[in-house]
Amino acid sequence: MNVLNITLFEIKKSLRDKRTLLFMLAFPIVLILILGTALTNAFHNVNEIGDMKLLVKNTAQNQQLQSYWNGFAQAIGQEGIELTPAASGIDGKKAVQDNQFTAYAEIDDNGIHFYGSSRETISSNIIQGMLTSFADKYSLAAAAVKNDPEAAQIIIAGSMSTGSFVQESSLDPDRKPGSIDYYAIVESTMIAFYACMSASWLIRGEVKRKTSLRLVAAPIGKLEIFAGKVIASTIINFLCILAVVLFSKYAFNANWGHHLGSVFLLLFTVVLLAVSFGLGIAFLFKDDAVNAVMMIFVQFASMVGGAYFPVDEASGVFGGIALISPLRWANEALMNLIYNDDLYAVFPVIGLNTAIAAVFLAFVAFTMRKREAF
Amino acid sequence: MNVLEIRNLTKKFGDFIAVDNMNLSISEGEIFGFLGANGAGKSTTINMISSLLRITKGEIQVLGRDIVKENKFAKINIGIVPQDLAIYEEMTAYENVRFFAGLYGIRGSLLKERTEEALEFVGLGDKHKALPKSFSGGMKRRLNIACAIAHHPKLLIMDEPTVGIDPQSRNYILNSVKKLNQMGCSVIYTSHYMEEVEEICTRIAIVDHGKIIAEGTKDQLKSIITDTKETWIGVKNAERLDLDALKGITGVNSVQLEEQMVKIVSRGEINNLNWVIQQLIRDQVEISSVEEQAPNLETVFLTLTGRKLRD
Amino acid sequence: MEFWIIGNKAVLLFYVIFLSYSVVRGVSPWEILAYLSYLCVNISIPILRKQKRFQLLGSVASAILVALFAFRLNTIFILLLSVNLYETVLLLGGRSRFALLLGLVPLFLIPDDEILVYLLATSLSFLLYYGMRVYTEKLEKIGEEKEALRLDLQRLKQSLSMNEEYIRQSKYTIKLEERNRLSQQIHDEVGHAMAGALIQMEASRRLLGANPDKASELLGNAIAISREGLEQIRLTLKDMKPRSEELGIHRLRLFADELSANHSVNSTVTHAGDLDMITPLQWKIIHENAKEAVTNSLKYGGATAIEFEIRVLNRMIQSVVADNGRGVDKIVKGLGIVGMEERAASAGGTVIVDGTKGFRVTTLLPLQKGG
Repeated sequence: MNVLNITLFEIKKSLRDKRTLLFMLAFPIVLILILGTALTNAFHNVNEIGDMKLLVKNTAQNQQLQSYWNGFAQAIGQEGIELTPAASGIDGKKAVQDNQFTAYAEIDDNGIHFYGSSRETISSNIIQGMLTSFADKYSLAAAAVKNDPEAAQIIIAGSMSTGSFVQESSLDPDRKPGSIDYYAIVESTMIAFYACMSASWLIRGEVKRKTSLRLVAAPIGKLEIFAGKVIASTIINFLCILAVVLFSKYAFNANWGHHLGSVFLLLFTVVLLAVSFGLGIAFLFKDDAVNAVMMIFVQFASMVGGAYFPVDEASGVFGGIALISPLRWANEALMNLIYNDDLYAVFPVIGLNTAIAAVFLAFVAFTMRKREAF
Repeated sequence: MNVLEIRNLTKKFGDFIAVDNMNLSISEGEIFGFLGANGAGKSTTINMISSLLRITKGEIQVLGRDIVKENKFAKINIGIVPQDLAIYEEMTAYENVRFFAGLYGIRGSLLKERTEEALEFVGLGDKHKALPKSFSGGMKRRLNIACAIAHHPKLLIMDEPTVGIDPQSRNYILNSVKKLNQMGCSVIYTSHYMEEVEEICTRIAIVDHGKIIAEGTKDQLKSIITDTKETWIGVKNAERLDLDALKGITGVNSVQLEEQMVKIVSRGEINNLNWVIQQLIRDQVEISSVEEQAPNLETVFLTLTGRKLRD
Repeated sequence: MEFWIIGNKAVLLFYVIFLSYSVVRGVSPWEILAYLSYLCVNISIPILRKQKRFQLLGSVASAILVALFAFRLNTIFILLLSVNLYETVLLLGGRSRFALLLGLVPLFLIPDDEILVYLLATSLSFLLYYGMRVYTEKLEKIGEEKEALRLDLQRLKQSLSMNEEYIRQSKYTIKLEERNRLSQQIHDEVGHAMAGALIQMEASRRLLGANPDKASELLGNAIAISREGLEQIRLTLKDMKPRSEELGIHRLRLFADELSANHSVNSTVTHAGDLDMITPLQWKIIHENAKEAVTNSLKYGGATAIEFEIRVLNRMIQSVVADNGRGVDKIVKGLGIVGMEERAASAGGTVIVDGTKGFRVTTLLPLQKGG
């Protein structure tokens, strides 16, 4: 009953602290938005490829080539590639550099000269692929014409049908996260871990405000106070995460996979870990050092955990260090869960989080019993 | 029964002895004052009574029951007003009181009733929904008290409850303490303000270096230094004075005439100024000034410890 | 105050980011670097609140960065410039007119199509800067006034209490002088009486042969005067007579003198009140505790002066041994202190050891009145 009272009071108190609450909600959302949009290019999603623009300068004299090319142009036009004939005097390469076009192609009787954008590598690669296959087929047809014109016609006709220039299977958009999806996940876990900062104030705050005197003087156990506070902090921080996840899902259309229950369970254990970690640090270090230690660890864990930029294949020392970041475990498990439907990936992490949290909580409970007052 | 009984109480912090073999008993209905400079051991004693610190040696009983063995019983019967404001600034006055009262196991409609009663008692009945941030120093101090009394403690411990507030709020608080006392609540009161202690405390202990060096009512304490008081009366026509008649007044020990001043030494506990003045009027002596010199607690403290209460 | 500047910067930065995204899709990494470095520099400004020099440096650096970005990457960055300029002026405590001009300088350097929006941003920032400046100055003034008032109050209080002390002191001095005068008078009168008796006796001797009756009368007068005078002398000098009880205080004086002689310590003995009230047993305790306290002082205190003081109060005897040495902040009880305490406790008393201004050992013993 006392625990419930303290929990409710603590939650109410946290809700009054508009600034922290705002920070916990707005900070991840803004980060998702900024990093997610700013670093889109690092992730290339499907929508981007739909926007491919090809600048063409056609100076070929060969009639056959011209007619084949027109058929080809029509076909790829249907697939969403926008062809623009280059006006005379335009420097095609410059236009691509200025990001007005994805790629630039010069066609003459000798062949196709291709110039792709270095900004949108995937799009230009796709176009390059299409042009290569066109060139191959044209060479084949040109060779066939000499022996059997009929066969050549069939080859060209077959290759003109829509879709045959692109192999769809390698471009399944659901298998790899887009930037918004990625940042939605990592910022959520990061902000879940930020719970340790408010948690470090749970007991210290009472001491600083002197209200700890009243709490100790009241006929309730220290463990009741402690339990109430941990529960309250976990709940309030988890609610923030819940809001962030749902917001990113519905407002930004971030992909959170089909197992939302497991996602939330994992995030819950991250919050729990963060809360107990914060409490533990607050008891391990002296007052001033707590903030510094917390800040450094959180920033470090966020960085190597991939909260600011993806760290896929970390190796060597960095990779070793990265392993101690709880955010890294959580992020990897979430990626596996969402993109590989790997339900089992989350359970070891859930277990690990809970175990570490339990160790910290036990440590704090033990020190608290030993200490006079708080 | 004694509300509080302290026997051979000692508190050590490492080698340092903060409270040194203290003995004390406070009976029901008393307002007991603790006088002492900073670091004298008042707060340490109070903190041990309210279970904030562990006892190194000795025992404390609240209402006849040991506070270590029956900790919960002691805690329920004690209310504590800490020296520093111990309230949640971001919660309303009502929520503050309600929360702390709730910790004492009070629930439901009784909780509401007690909360309202406590706020009403300290004069914050119309500030239920206000945040302490908007309060003056005096109002915060009063809220600090309200948080300690909502559970109707038998013993209220007040550690410097009037630090840094305006005289009006201070009077209000002093009156509240008296009223609480009349309602059957015993009070332990510490203060730097000698006048406050003198005004409200029924018994006072002077504490220095962890020891109680003197204890008793304020008159008893004063009588440690002297039990007489001197009344100096300035007179215009001294030759008319009937010295023998003055000596005959109850309580007067000696009368001396020094030029235009009459010095009357009388027993400290007797108030005979009326009779003296009546006698002077009867003698048709013109009185120009009256001054009474009696020791106050400040002098007692200064004499005994060689230090001022406020350094 | 910082919140407003931060808000100002944030709004402009968001606008800049929004604009550069909506106009040109896909920003170059350089621009992201620009945003981030701008953020870094400007976040560090409020953090370095304590070191104004670094703040200033940050603000100037940010202004330079912004200008650099504007010319190298995207002119829209210029919008961020005026806030930094105003912030710099604010940190330097410069004048407003100068600030206004400073905000207009970049006008000549930016393309026409940005001028309007730059003017808007600059004027809004200027308003904010101006308001902030006015109100900070007001706040500072109020703070200063408050501080001055507080000092005034403190000074007045101090002089009041000094005056009170002075009044008390002078009252006491006057009383003392008065008493001295009175006792002088009595002495003079006794002297006169003695002289009178002497003259009468001389006359009586001369008249002894001639007029025995007269001589006997004069002698009778002389005897009466002498008796009276003697009585007065006795009365006056009663307190000056050494008594057996004073042996206690004599012993203490002797002890103090020895101390002065054997160690280079200046020692004094003072007493107040009726020493008759102290029983031999209590004297014993006082002596032993004094000896112990002195041992302590000599050992640890580094004292050059030791003061013994015995006061007989109404219900307590107070014996103080105080030195002017180093003392200690927190007393750790040794055997010596415990011994003193035990001795005092045997007579129902207590010992207080204070080390804040040199060692000061006070033995308090209860006084049995009339017993």
